[in-house]
Amino acid sequence: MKLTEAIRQANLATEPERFIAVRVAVGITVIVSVLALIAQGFVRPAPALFAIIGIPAGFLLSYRMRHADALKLKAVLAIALIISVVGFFGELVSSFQDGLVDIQVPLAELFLWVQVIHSLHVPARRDLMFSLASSAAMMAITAALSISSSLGIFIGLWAVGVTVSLMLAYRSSIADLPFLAGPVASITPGATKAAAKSVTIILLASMLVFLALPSARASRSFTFPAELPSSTALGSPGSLSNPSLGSRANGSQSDASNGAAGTGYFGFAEQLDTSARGRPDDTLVMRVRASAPAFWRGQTFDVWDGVTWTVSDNTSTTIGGQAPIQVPLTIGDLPQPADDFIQTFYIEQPGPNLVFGAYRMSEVYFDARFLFQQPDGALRAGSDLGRGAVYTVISQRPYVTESLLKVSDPLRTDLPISMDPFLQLPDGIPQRVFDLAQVITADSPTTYDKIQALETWMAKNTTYSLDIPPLPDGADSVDEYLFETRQGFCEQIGTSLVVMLRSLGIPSRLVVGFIPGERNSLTGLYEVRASDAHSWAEVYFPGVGWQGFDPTAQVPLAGESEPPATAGAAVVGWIRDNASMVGRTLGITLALVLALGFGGMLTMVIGRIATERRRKANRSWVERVTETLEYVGTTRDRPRQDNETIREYVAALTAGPIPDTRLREVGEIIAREAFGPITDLEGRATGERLLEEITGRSLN
Amino acid sequence: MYAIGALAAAFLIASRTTGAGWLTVLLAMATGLVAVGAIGPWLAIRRVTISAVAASDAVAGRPFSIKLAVDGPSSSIQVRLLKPASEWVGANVPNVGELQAIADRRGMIAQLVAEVSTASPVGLVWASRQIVVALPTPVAVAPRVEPVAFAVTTASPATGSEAIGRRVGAGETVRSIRDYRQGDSLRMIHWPATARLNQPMIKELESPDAPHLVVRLDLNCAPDEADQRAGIAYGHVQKGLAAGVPVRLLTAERSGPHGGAVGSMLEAGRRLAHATTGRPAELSEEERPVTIVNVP
Repeated sequence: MKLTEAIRQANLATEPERFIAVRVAVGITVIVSVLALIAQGFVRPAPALFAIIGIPAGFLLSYRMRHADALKLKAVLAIALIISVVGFFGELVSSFQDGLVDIQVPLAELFLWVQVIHSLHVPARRDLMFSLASSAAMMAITAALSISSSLGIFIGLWAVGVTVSLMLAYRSSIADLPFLAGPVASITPGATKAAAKSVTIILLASMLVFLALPSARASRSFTFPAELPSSTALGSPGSLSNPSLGSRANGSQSDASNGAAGTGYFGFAEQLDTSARGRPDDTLVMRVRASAPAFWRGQTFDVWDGVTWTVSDNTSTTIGGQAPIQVPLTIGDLPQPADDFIQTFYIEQPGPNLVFGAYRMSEVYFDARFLFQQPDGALRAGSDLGRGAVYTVISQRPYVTESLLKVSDPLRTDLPISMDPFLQLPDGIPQRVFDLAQVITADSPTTYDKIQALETWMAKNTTYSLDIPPLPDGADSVDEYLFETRQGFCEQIGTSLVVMLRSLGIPSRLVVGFIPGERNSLTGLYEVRASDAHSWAEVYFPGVGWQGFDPTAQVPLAGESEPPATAGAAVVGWIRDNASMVGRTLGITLALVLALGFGGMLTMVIGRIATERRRKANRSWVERVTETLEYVGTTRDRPRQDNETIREYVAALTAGPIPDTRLREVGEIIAREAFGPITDLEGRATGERLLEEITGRSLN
Repeated sequence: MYAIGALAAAFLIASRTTGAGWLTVLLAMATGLVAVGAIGPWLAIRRVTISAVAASDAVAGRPFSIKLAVDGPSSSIQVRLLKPASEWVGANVPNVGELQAIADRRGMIAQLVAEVSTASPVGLVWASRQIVVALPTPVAVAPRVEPVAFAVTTASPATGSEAIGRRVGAGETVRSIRDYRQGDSLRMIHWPATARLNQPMIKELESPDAPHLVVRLDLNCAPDEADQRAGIAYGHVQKGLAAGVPVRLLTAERSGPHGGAVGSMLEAGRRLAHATTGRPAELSEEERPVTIVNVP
């Protein structure tokens, strides 16, 4: 057999799908999956437009050519498919050569091309089902790449489309058979009701499964997205820019002290004034894809003057040259065997040009050749980081235990001279601050124990508050917090820890950044809001490096918290944290569901009553009299059995030693009326009369 | 089904790798779809009921009509009969319609064995069930007519499979009357009794004096052979009736030996459907001259 013949045999088309409803349902489902992909922004405009027009056109063309021999068309489509795959690998290789491993766009577009190409040849049901499976693969790609909750709408629509498509395809397969009641002209009657029922049940079952499924966690990232759309280079390379602060970009907190809300955090500036704190709102500023929560560190401060933090050395070093950008170690950083911790940041709001990441960043995939590194290790971009900016950071998180930190005690080691800036304290700090630190830590043998003791004391004796009076002129921020107000916010609490540690001779510094944020269990991303801006302390441990401590709350630091075990637990956690909003939504939903449910039940009951009345009104004479006969039988403890004929039933009822001949006669009359060729009005009258005699009540 | 299972596994692996919660949602939906796809047919099939009415007569190997009423929860199903056999037919429950079945053996069919199968609502998993359906009126399945080398002549009594037929018309004496049955000849209606009882009555005649064909069927053998013997007997009856010779059929029925004239192939078919193992009726001494065909 020739090769072409063998291919022809293998590709012999099955019978074309005859019901257009199946094609329409599958076509719509495929288009929904394509729109979902496009809406997530992973496809360039030209391929997106081509797919939106090409897929419906392909389905139409395929329908018109469903009976044609499509061997040549298949050959053309196969070549097109090969070209698409080659193009995909070409882009992938190019991405590798550039050092940026980002397959999102090429992969998404490959699936789009496959879908467009396949839509040109879907004559049979089998082909349509393949198209449906292909749309599922595309939805999976979209789901894996999506960082938005809006995908839920598309997934919902797609699920409806899949259910309807499968249902119609099944009905079509049944309609291929000879039909009991004659040929089938349409498979859509009743489809809406059946689809609504099926979709509802499937969604309910899916919710139950979702609640029980293990929470999705990233065990390993294979892509390192980086994108910098429409960025504007900063005038002074290496400088700090924070457009979210507006006129307060240099750290002035006059508006903030009045409680002004916004997305900007004054800590992302050249200096940090602890006398008052603004109230960043809940605006989503960035999303982070990471396998675990961590503090997203921005920069540190080392010089304290009693009110304000600044940095001792603000010189920037240019790093990079090729992707990924290797991040050199800075003061206090120690190279240690550690696991790669990959984080991808998706910027949602224009903010500082700081490159955030868990401590200690070792590599950065950034859509620019260079970054600027500060002496404390903080990274700054050379341009604005606006909405849409994406970068990936790989951090080295050494495995640190309590015992290791107790052993690596800076108080028992000769510290390098480079640690001197981190022991700096200004003159004028009230003596009682030092005394308090001594008293609290008197019984703590190690640095680690002293930190724990200080945190515990602050937790017991102070409270967190943003509503504190402005710092009096000349007052020391730490003294005011520890002895006067006993209330403070994270900058004051963190500063107090750093100052007390420094007073004990322990090198430390203040860090600003973001707490991990809420993990969206649908996208799998941590959603970081402006209000998540935070400040905490870092303490130097010889042989270990910098370790973060958050005295403000028992917020776990990197690696100290496990994500929820199941998706359901994650959702429950989110519900707990958003109780009021969830309560309102649930209340309204519950009320609607109850109203709909009650309405539906009422309609069903009324409908059933009406149906029963209609049935009773339309009963034939035989049915009416048979019911009465069955009633008689029931009163004599002999209900009629399934498949029992009237004659058999009457025989059973009259089986006793003194048979009721009236019943036998009634049975005969019913049988004759039911199966006889003529209606015997006289017989009917006799039957009714006999039954009235037996039951003692009128049949009418 | 397997494709969806594979997709679900892929979603699980991908969600565990990428941390994308939407994949968990897709996995949950795939699982929900499979669950509904598996449980739905099972629930639907359990509640399907079937009632049937069939033609009262049929011939083995030839299709006959059965009217089926399929009831239950709204769903698309396929139905076929196993005993007697039929092809699959589709039905949107509830539905009423006819299908053609073929009985492979002669005999009385008092109940049907139907198989219903569905993958409703989404066509992923099939569930099947067999349902026994009692017929309100049994179907008498006559045997296939086996070709016989048998010639009706006026010659002297024959041996083997040849037999003599004599003129029709003898033996008009009414032996008894009975209820009318479908297929009875109008010529056999007993009009006085019909008028008196106000329902059609049929006369049964005494054996004719004139020579006639007697087919005596012995079914004491294996079922396959019994069917063949019945077919041969049916062939002889056909020949006799075609030649206008009165035919008597001697068989054994459950109620005992049965012998009587058969006036039509329909009547003979019914008798042969009822025929069973046992000692067939014997020819009475008065019945002479006769031509006897013993089958075997």
